[in-house]
Amino acid sequence: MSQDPFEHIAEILRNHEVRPSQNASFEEVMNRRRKKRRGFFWWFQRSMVGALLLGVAGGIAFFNRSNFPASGIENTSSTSTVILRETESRPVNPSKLVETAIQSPAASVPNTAIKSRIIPKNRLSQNTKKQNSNTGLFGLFQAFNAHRKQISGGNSKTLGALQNPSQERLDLDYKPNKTSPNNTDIYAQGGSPMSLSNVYDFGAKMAIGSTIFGLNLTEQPDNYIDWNFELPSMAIRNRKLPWYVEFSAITGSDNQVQFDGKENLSVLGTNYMAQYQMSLLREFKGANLWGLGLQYTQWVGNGEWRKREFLDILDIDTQTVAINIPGLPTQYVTYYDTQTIQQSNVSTGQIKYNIDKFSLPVSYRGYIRLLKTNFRYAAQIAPGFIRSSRGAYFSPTEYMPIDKTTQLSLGAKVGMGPIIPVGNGVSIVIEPALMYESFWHPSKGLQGNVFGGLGISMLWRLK
Amino acid sequence: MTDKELVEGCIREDRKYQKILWNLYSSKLMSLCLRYCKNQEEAEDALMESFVRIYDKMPTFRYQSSLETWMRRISVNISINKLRAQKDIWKEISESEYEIGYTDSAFLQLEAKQILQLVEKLPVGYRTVFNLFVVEGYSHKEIAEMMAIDEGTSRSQLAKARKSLIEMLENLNITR
Repeated sequence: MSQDPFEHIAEILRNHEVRPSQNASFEEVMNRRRKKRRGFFWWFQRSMVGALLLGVAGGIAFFNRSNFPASGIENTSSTSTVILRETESRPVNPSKLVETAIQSPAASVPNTAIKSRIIPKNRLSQNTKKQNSNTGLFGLFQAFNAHRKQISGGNSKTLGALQNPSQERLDLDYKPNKTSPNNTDIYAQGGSPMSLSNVYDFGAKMAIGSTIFGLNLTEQPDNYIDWNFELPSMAIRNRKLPWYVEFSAITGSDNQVQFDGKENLSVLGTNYMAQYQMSLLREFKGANLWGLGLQYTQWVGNGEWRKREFLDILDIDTQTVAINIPGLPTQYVTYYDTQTIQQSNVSTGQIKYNIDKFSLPVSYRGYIRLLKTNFRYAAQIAPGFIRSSRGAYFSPTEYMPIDKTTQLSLGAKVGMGPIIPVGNGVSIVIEPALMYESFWHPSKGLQGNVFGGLGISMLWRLK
Repeated sequence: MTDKELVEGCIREDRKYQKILWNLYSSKLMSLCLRYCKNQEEAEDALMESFVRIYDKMPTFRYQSSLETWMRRISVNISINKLRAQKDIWKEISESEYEIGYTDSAFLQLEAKQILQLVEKLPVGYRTVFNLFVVEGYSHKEIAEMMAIDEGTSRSQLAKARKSLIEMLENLNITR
């Protein structure tokens, strides 16, 4: 024993032990170490997870929003546009016109110059601008067409478009040049067509823009990997390969844009999808996971359709002259000057659809380490069926009713994202992905969309 | 299990070895922290911080001292840092020097628990210097650097600590 009392005290104190309480445990030390390691990337990942969860919740709220029209199609506006096209101008043989003049009550009135309106080019430009102020999604893109000129036929010339001609027409009576009927000026006929109307489709230049709706969330469950991500060791150790349960949610969108203007019908809109999936996965050699699951997808779309119809209106301008030769009865000769007026009717409206589908996905998951971060890549194919549907499904150039359609469907997905262990065999994956959803329409065949989205998956390793 | 195996296991982040290290030294380091900290809660906090740093710094251990000594130094540093965050702990410091020369065997009759209680009753400044100098074996120069005080201050604190301990022993009526 030491003779120095303080040395004795020191000896006792050095060897003295006090067992820490349960508040100070080894596990708590490890937790502190983990928290200490949480740098920017850790908080970034957590923030992303939080944002995605909020996004999923918002997506659910969005998709559950009802107010769905019975047909899925609503006509919200209709405008009429007149486009002039001179297609015919012909002199009339006086000898035949006499008969015509006598037989045709409409032409029997002397000097009946049918009221026509000539539209100055500068005014046409203004009208065009007015038309461009059309509301709706299409209005955003009509600026592209403000200066358009439509050419129809070899000798046709388009002056422009006149919206609501009854209001916009100029009260300029036009006197046709009777001496040179072939040199007919271009003019417009407002109001209702006089005669021959022939409805046919006409390739109107059309610009369709896109709208950017909402966010895309894709959730994709995936396989668990060790936090240290030593995948080869999983097989080398020859341990029992585990099973995993994966819960995932993903949302995506597909903006539908059609700019070519070659189609008579254009639909501008956005397709959305939200998908929820549960899978049972088995790990195989090389940290490859395969599994089966159950998937529910809600697939909706809303947008605006625009349809243009063109009417060819035959405009007949007649001039009847009296030929009075002394000694002979008065003869009447009628000149017919004809031209075709093309009237364009534009209709727009809303369209939407809603599809619920169930699928049985066959899933594959793999792992890769890049930039000191563990990533999971995923691929899956999901055959299934549509359980219920409403409204009218649309593609860029057509729409089709799908009410109560029950058909086979097929979905697929590829994605890749960082995997984040959260402890106790649970990992979270944030996964950008590309998804394909399709169904078989009874008359139109295979219909589908490719979605870009972002998802979140929770992977739980079973004991 | 040797210290080397233990250190290498901890460097590999093997949880098994980390747990063994905790089981071996947590009680000793807890006792150490209790002598520096004002209460059990703060001592446990210092203990856990110590082990976090020990695990993190294990790759820097060079076997120039024993593993326990190295760990105790880490714990002391953390405890001292907590002390330094407190204000006015050196308020009672005076420059007077004590020459005690006390060699009474009364201390030898004390049990560890009693000694610990006595030490805990010392003012913070006394207690800290006493622990550092007498128990941990730091020199006054080292203590001065650690505590950001003069060496003379360290000496005076030690002298006062000794005197206080003797007085407390007298009050306990276990002195001669």
